[in-house]
Amino acid sequence: MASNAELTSQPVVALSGLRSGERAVITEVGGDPSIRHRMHLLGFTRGREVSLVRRAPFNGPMVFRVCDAEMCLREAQARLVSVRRLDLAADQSAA
Amino acid sequence: MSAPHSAVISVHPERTANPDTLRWVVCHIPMPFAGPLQTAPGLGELIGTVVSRARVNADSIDITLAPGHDWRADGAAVRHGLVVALARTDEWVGGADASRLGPDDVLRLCACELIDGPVGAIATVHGGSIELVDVSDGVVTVRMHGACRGCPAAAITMHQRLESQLRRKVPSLREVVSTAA
Amino acid sequence: MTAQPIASGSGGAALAERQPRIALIGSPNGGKTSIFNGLTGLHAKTGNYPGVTVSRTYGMCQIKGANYNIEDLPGCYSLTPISPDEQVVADLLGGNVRGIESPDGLLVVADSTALRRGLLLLAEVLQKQIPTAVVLTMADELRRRGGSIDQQALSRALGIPVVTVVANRGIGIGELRHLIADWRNWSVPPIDPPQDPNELAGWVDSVLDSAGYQVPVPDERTLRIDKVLLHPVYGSIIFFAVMFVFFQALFTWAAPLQDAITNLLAMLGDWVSSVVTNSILSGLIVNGVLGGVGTVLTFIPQIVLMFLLLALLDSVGYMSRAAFLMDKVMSKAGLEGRAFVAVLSSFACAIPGVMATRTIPSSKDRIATMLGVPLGTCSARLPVYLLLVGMLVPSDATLGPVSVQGIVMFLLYLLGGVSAMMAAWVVKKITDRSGNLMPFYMEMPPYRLPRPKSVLLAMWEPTKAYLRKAGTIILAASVIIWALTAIPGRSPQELEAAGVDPTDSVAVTSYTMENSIAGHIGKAIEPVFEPLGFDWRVNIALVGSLVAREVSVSTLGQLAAASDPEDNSQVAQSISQWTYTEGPHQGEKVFTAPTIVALMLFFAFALQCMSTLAVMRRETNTWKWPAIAFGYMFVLAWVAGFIGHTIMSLFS
Repeated sequence: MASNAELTSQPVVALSGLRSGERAVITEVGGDPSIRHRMHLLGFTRGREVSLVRRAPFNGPMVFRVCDAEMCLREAQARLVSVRRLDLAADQSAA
Repeated sequence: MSAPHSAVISVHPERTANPDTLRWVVCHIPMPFAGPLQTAPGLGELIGTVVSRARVNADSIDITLAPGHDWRADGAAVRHGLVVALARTDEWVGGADASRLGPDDVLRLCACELIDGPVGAIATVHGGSIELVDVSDGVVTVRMHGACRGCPAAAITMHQRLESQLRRKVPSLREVVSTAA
Repeated sequence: MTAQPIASGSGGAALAERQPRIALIGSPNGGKTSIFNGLTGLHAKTGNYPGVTVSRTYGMCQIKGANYNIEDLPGCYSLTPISPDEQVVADLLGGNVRGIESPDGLLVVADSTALRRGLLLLAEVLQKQIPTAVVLTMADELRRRGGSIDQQALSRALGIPVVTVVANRGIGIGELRHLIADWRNWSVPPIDPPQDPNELAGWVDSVLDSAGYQVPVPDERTLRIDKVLLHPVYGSIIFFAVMFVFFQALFTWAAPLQDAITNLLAMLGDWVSSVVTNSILSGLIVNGVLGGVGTVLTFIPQIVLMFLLLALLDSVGYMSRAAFLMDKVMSKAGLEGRAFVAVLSSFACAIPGVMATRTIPSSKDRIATMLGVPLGTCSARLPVYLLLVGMLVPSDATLGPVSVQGIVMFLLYLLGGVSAMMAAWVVKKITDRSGNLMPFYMEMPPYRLPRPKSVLLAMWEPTKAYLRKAGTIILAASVIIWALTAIPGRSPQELEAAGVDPTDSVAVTSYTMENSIAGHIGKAIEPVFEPLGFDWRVNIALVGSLVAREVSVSTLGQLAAASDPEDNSQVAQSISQWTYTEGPHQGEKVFTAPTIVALMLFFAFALQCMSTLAVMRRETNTWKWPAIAFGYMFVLAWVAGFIGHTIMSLFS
């Protein structure tokens, strides 16, 4: 069931700045048009929830959970996506 | 979950028996009334020109194109207008016989839609039918006829099917009850 | 819902005669390959799309007596190309690829556990105005993870046909085949899905809601396994263990099979020699043809084993984890994590290494890796290294507890690995001058049990391709090179006139080789290799090494009339006595330290292996890249040999 994530008052940060386990909502996807389009088709679109699953050591690639699947991006790509962290009080949608 | 932020309007078109009419199914936005739509933000300019008729249902809007217009050509414009309208449902103006919808009205309309549509079709295939008896306080009462009535397994399946599909459309449904009388 | 019959994509009255073409589109880990295998079975072929190094997979499917062309398009998340490789797929759908018609129908294979993303691709596909249907996969996994979907409601909401296939239980394939046979009657959506990202997201959510889509919870099993496999410490240890096993398989486990093949062919060769009296003919058959066939077949155990392991690791889902762990390291060479397997394989043999580059999506990365991989210290270089190191360093020399010979061998391995990475980096820098940085993304699929049929097919197809395309080249090359060293044959009169005993086969071989075409070539190219200290006999061995590097050892042995050219120490003993027969150094020893070092470095860098070139040709569909590889490595090898020779000369 699609439930509405609470409007969060957190500041806008880069996706690459998330810590493991943090959830956020995407506010914008940057980069040139072809990269933006590809990111959209991978599931990274405005309004979608995304969370960081894990990060490789030494600034290696990062694994995100978006659109019910796990997608790995390098830091350079993750930096293009702007997000707001979800408030801890945001309602947890039932599976 | 990957549910969208509240700002996204979720709507999609489905075919109806009439090739000029598409049923635009709306997700999780309560309709202000049921009945003919006279005007709404975003759709006002289209109604009367591109669109000949728009009728609001419990969870969808049936939009019929005017003669000389084609969904392939005008679909995108109608969708744009609809998305604008759905963000401001409080500004919709209904036709003469538009009636406000209480929660039970929504349930009744959706139950009728299902019984006249997919769930009823399956019942017919099995040699039976379902009749809507009553809707009140979130409880929907139905009566099974024909083969469904005699066979307890069929009755249970029909019951479950109706209940799950109805609950999908109207989460506030309490339960579906079968009555013999 | 009313079904609307549609005109076919390419229209026309000739449809009845032409075989309908159906293309499969979908994400890389969505079960598309299983669907393809389920439809085409063993009737699949691979090739390349014209003009690019993208491989093409297609096959035939027979339904109710009619034949259908099924094309398995490369796994993708979007039809909007961001690279020349992807442009080919977009061109194909638009009917702009010469020789391949656009498809009549498209089957979008969607992983039902990732439908929210999968519908985005479907929306793009529907814009192409080609009849489309959806095949839902992973339905069993969806249910297991607490998700669900109403297939009929989804079909109603989309306006197109939807079938569900559970490939590993064979459920739904029959329904899919019926659907394909009915391709002319597929319903079309009333209007195209929206293109604006916001409206599109709304469309997806509305459709899924209507279809009663229950999102599956993240896979528990995968989370638990990844806690270990991607743990910084335990995960790395396990990774190296897995890679070690992989390497051992190629290096050690394949060996008994390879030996068996060699022995079998040797027996066959002996029988032929005893039966065929004409020495030239028997030489052609035994050394040329059987030798060539043997060379081709010896690589099969390695290729089969490698693709078996790759298919297992990939279908289980571990490959993306390995790539995740290695990506940082590989990015230093301008490559990405998935290139690691190819580089690792090259330490056993460049051929599986070159073929393993198929796992790399970007063609620029593929080529850069392919051009670097032959520098890895492959097992064929070992006999040469062992011979030369044995001649250079006394076996009892030690540096503390470690033998100097061991240190030199280790350094040679290190040299191979480092130069392979550096070469890939250089190639990438050159080909990527436009600075068009491709975004890196890779899905981490849930762990799934591999399907035996898929794994076997994944092994079978590259083996078939290798045999057909590379095998023929290797066989031809073997025959030619044999001919170079054995022709002209010498009659007993000629031999006696030259002072050679015709009954002494060792002496006959030595004399024949010295005066063969290869001998003339060896003398002719002396000026080229003189600065490295090679004499014309070493050059003959280089010609021989074109077939396989280890052949150079036996060639040297035969030239030196060693009684057993297969015995390293005998060969070493014989050739260390060689002196230059002419030129400014006449009378001096050939195999001085500078010459040995030069030869070692030459072998380290030169691409002599015909088989590698043949496989490169097969994988890139052109002679351009093998030629470039051969060329640049020759220059590199010569320069390295020269520098080595010069530096060593300063010490002695």
